[in-house]
Amino acid sequence: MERVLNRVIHRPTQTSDYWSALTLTADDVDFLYGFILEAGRPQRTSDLALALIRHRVDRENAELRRKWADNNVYQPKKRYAVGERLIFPALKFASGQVIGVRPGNNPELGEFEVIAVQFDDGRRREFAAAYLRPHRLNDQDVATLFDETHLRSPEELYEAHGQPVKAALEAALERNDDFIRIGDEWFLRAMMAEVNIGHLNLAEAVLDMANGGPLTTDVILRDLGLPPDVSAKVQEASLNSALAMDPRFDEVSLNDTPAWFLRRLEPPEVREIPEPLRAERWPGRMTLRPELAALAYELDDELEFDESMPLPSARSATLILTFPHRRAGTLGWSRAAAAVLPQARKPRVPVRFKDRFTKKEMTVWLVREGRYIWGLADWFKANDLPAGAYIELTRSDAENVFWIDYRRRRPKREWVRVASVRDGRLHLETAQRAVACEVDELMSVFVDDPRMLDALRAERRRDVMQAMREAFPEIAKLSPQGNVHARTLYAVVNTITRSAPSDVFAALMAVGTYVPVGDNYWHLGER
Amino acid sequence: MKLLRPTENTPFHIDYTWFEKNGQDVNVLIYKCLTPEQQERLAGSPTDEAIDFVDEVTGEVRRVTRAMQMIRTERANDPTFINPRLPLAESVFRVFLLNDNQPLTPVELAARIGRKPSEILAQLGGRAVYNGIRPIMN
Repeated sequence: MERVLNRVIHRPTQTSDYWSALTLTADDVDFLYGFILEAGRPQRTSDLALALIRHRVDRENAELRRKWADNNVYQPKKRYAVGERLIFPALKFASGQVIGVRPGNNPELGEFEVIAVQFDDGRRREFAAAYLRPHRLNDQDVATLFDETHLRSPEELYEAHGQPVKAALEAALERNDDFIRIGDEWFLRAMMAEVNIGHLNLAEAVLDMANGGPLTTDVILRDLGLPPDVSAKVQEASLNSALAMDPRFDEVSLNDTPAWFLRRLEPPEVREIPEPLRAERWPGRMTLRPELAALAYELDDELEFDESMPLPSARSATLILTFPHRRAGTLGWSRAAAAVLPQARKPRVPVRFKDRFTKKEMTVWLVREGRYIWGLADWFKANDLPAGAYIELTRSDAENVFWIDYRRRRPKREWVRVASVRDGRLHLETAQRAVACEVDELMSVFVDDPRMLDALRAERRRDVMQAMREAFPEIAKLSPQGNVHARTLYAVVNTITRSAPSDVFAALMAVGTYVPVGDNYWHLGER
Repeated sequence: MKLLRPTENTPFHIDYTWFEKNGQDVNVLIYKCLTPEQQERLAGSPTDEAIDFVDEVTGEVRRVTRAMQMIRTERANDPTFINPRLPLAESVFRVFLLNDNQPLTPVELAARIGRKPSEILAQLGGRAVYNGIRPIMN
């Protein structure tokens, strides 16, 4: 019984269902338009989301006030006339209209009236009125129904439901031509300052003078001379919008403040995937033995990076350099690397790597398409790193600067796997080479003249199956038992065809003549 | 045609039309639920005279007999009104008198009358109808 009496007004905005199912109405969009107009400068999505939540809560309050202004709260002790509207707190705040009044008939209750009420949902029920005997509803303080102390504030609602609100808001504004998105901010197209081709040419010259950039918008603006009566924020928003639409410029910042780079001065390797990294994919069905699937996951090739998986953050990561990356001067922006590096959503952004040993800094680019880190060719060469070397990335205390290092050791001549080209085919042999770093024994491949392998790849492009069939016997002949580890097969296949581990393993299984002999070692069978 | 059988989760209620169809007066059955003292107070009044009963939670008015009003106002908190010595069908009938005939399943009834759901279903779910209590089959 108390449960019924203790009910307060139901407010949909206090529920998560309301916000998770949010769709913006024309009224919401009008409100957001006015909100930005009044602010006079671009607004972040999060600020608009909070404003929208506040707007919805205010609107709900206004509706409640209007509804309650037109309706009396039903209490049995009051007398009602036909036509009056009533709200019934004990019936989930249902509302209805009095359509009849008659005398009550119960000798034990004395005189009272009975009102007939037509509810808004069509039901018709009778209630006591002018009923002066003790009744719970007669004793209820109507003011407690409006108790707002337990309600969550718009700020608290944003904390709890901000994500779905932001998503709904972005979807609605993206579809509306009146709004323009600049990074994480929204502005009104009608409020933009005019940025003409002359301004854009000047911006190009400014970036040219800065070796391409990156420069933030406020720095570029200094030389552009936009109308001084337009506020700095609006100038920035207008220029950002114009630069974003001009293919000469690339937005490369890692945070919410746009920074611009001149596209023609960007290294060509960050605009197009370098040739050694262009992968062949396995076209058939992907049926892997569980241990091969586990190994593929462990190898963490960026070609198999899954954007939908949650990415834990890490302070450092160890990567194994593969031949295609050694040749392209890149590293895979794999799961392990991504845990250390910033989460960039732009096509390409520059960051700084710092050699742990020499303390020398270099600019590298995180390239989203292809998921690679470009700019390490000189560093690989200077340190004479072979494919298979362990590379370590660590966050530094400075923002967007990362330590890079490899596992150093005293140089020593060792028997290693050396790849070359003989008779137009991949050739492997074991030979002595100087090794000055720790390598993954199963994945190391030394190449004396990488240009020969470049020519081999250029001469005839091999698919995954062809590359696997060419690599397997070459590896097998290097061991007395003729066994080949799947890890080595992946590394060697990649010297002639860039492939993901799952693709290599799928080809291995698809042939049917290779048999597993345990611990991910495979042997050419008799069949 | 396959007959649907009620289960322990099928709601039951008093089907007042059953009394009419079978030529019985439900008011007689309700009258029997009163104490001798209450019956004496009602002496001389017609058993089917309807009066306005005011719900103590919602203020809603329902037309009920005086006997029914007495049961709801005077016996609702009386532990002897529903007790283990009563026949099962009588206990269930009294539960529905008190709750304004809101449908309840054997599982829910079991908690109110202290009998097993299976026992309630066995007695009320068969072909014979006791005190007009019938399942609501969709």
